Amino acid sequence: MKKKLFVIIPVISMILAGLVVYNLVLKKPKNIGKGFDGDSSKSCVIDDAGIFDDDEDTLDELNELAENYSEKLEMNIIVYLSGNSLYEEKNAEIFCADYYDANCGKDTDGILYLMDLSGVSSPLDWISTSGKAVLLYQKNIDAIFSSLNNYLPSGGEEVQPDEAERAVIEFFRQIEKYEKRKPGFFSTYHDKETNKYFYYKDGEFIVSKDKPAYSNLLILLISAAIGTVIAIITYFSIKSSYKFKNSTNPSVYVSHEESRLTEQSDTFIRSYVTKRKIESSSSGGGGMRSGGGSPMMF
Amino acid sequence: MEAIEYKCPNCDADLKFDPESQKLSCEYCLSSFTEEELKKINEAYGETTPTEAEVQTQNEFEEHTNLYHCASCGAQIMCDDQQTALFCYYCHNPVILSGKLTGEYKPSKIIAFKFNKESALDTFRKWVQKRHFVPDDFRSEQQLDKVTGLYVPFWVADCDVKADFTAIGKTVRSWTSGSYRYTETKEYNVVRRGNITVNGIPADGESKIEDLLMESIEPFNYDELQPFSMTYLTGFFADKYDVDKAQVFPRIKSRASQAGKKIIRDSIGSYSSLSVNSEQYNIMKTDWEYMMLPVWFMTYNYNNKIYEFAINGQTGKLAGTPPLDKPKLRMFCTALGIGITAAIYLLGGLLFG
Repeated sequence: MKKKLFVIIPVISMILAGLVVYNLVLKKPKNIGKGFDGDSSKSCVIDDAGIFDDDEDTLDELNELAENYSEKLEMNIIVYLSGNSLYEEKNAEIFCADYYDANCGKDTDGILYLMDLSGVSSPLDWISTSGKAVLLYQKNIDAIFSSLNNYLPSGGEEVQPDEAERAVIEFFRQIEKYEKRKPGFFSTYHDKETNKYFYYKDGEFIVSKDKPAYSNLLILLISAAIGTVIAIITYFSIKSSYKFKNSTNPSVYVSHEESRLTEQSDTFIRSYVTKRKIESSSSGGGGMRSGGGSPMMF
Repeated sequence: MEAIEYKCPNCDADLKFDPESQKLSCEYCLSSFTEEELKKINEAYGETTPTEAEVQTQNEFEEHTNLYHCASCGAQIMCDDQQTALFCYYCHNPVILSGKLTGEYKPSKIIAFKFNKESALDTFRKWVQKRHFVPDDFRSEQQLDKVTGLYVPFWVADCDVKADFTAIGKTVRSWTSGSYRYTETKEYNVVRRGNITVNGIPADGESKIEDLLMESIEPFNYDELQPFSMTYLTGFFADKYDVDKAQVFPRIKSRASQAGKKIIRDSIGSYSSLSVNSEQYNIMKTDWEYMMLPVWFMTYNYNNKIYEFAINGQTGKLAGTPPLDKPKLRMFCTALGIGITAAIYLLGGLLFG
């Protein structure tokens, strides 16, 4: 059985290693991302606020620009200029997601920028991303808004057409800028709400409910460390067993009949007593007083 | 030069000593005879018997023992002139006949092989079976064929050891009273003197064979010692000693002292500590005997290192350092490491992924 073990262990090891390699390299995750269909005509600037009603040429230019950026960045780009404020983030999120899905399709590559031109004191702008745009822009949304704020007036003031135009153009520049900064090899975005993972694998953009294999890198490193330590211990343990065993103790040759002790004495010389104080293991001091409160529960 | 021939009375083939039956046996007609039986048969037919020749063992030894020399490793092998040594038992290179031996190399006693070659090989196979990382060819039949029945020359010493031991022994007793811990130490003057007799400490007289290896297959049962007879060499090889009494004496002295020390130390009660003042073991008298002891011997050359293995030809006790196939072990450990890594990774992925 022991002999078989020395064959079984490497075989099982190889099978398990094969599973890991399959999991890490060969296994294709189920990609639910639909990518970009190449139709840039879906990319546009929707002037729902009517800010360019008197300047349709500008709107046309912006629409053309949207299409150009769409072709270049290979994703749908929609800028929605809203005349009505949605007031709450949840509303803005739902509106943007629904509008994008309705016009470009669910899980396609694309971005929608909602610009609140209602003139309320707290305008609510929103950026919604889909497909590869999630991985490219979701972590940079604050930076994009920060750049856009340079072109838009603060809340309560009416937005002028040229301000809106510059803001839209800046939006295009920003998304181009972050598109050029390709995500790293291990870059992954996890949308906790939908439990979707967005990442690149072998140059292909993946939207999947399956976690990317390399996200378990820490587990792999810990496993490798444990495996290495056990392998090293095993190596030296087996190696040490391939040593020469001790020789025969020569006491087996003693003739007990012929041997005799002529003198065998244990003479008492002296005795002395030492004493030491036992240190108490318990120590004094005040007890701990706990205090504080609990978080408010709603 | 007249050769000593042990002929089968039935078929006239050469007789060889059989360790299992302790008789001279014929490989052809499967007869076996004791020396006494052969003597009677030969006397009845008026032939010269080997036993008669053994009366003059000294001369016979000189006349009928051939000495072979290995030019490669320097080993000197002797065997009776009825057999020819072709290969060195140690390095397996061809040996050449280098002459006869003088009588001083004739041992006085011998223990015959009791453990035959098959039994020795079985013991070796069982031993090697437990070792999974030896080189593959180490288990091969070709390697096993190299097992040689060898009479190893031993200097066996009976020593009287005078032991003189003095030390301070301490006993310690502790107790607690109140908030104090008391420790009482008693000191004793420990004296042990005496004469310790150590009988039959062997030391091989062959420089090529590792001393530790020979010590590891001890002890031999000296009750089975026989006066040396050329009969026992039949079918086996014997080594010519190249380490004399004077050279092995330090080893004998060290082992006799070691034996004496154990007797002295065992006679001392259980002291908490023992500070030795003086400890001397002097060899007062040594009686020597030069004898041949039976050993199944094998060497294995691996990575330019010679591994020696010996099996006591009387008791079957085996000793040797197994060669380690490091690449094989490394591969196994790597596979084990990969397997453990993979198992933990997959398990971790399931639990935390």
